[in-house]
Amino acid sequence: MLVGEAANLVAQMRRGVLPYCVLAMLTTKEQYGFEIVHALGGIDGMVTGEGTIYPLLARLRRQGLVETTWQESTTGPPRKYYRLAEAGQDALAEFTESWQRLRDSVDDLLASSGQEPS
Amino acid sequence: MTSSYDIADDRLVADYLNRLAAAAVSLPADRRAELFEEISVHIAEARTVRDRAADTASLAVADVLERLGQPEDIVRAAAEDGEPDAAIPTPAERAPRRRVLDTGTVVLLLVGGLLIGLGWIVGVFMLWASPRWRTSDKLVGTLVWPGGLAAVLVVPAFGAGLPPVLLPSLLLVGIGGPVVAAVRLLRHVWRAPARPPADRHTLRRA
Repeated sequence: MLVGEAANLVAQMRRGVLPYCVLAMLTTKEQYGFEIVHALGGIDGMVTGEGTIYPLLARLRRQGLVETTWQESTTGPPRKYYRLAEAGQDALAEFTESWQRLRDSVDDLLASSGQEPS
Repeated sequence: MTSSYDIADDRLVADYLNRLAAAAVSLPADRRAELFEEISVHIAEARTVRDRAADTASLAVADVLERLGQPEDIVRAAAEDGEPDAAIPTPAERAPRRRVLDTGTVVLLLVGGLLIGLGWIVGVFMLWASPRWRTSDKLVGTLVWPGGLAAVLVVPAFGAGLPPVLLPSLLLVGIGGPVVAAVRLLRHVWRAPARPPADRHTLRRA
């Protein structure tokens, strides 16, 4: 396999898991847009452009996976807070299960073929 | 750079938002407005963070804009969301379809045998193809009884040589078996799909 192909695949995988990472960030408390984007932007290799997270948040809202409320802020402009909706919890639980199964299988396979980083 | 509302910074922001507005003309009006608002608020928020932070260089406007990425890329991401394959199919969307399918499977197992036996065979295929049931459930669904309720039809033929007292019990087993198996399968279909909180604990640990 070409190195470029692997990089492209990783980019696609990242795009695929990003919505669930956003849902996971909202499990413990609601957060406002800047907070979510800034936190994700600080995770190595998670997002290439922070701005692209906003269309993603809008899509999650349209799908009913998150709910939003506007709240005044004492330090700046009003903030749009995102909260995990019930459908979002279900989607996240389902993803978590599939993700763990896939991750374990791939890890096992890589380990048994001697690809595990030492 | 002494003020967060530095003229040079304001110009950078204005240029950036102009580019965003120009690129976003391809989006539907409501999405365009929402996106423009979110990005504007993001930049304004970042500038207040910079105000309060001692280290003003940490959230310099130029850095904030660079981290946001090219306006054209943001608009492209927003446009892709309109494509159906970009959406996450939510359990709420998938569950009813799966439920209807799985319920149909149980109905076929139960009475499909009466349709010259074919319905039951289709039911068995659907049973084993569905991700809902465990193997033990699938075995019960297949073996109690092959043919479903249609299995009762063989009882009179079977029972011809047996003492007549056994006939009612054979009929009871022939009808009761498939019904109990069907109820067992259906309980899995209609039990609430909500996951136990254990899953979310697993996630936090992971």
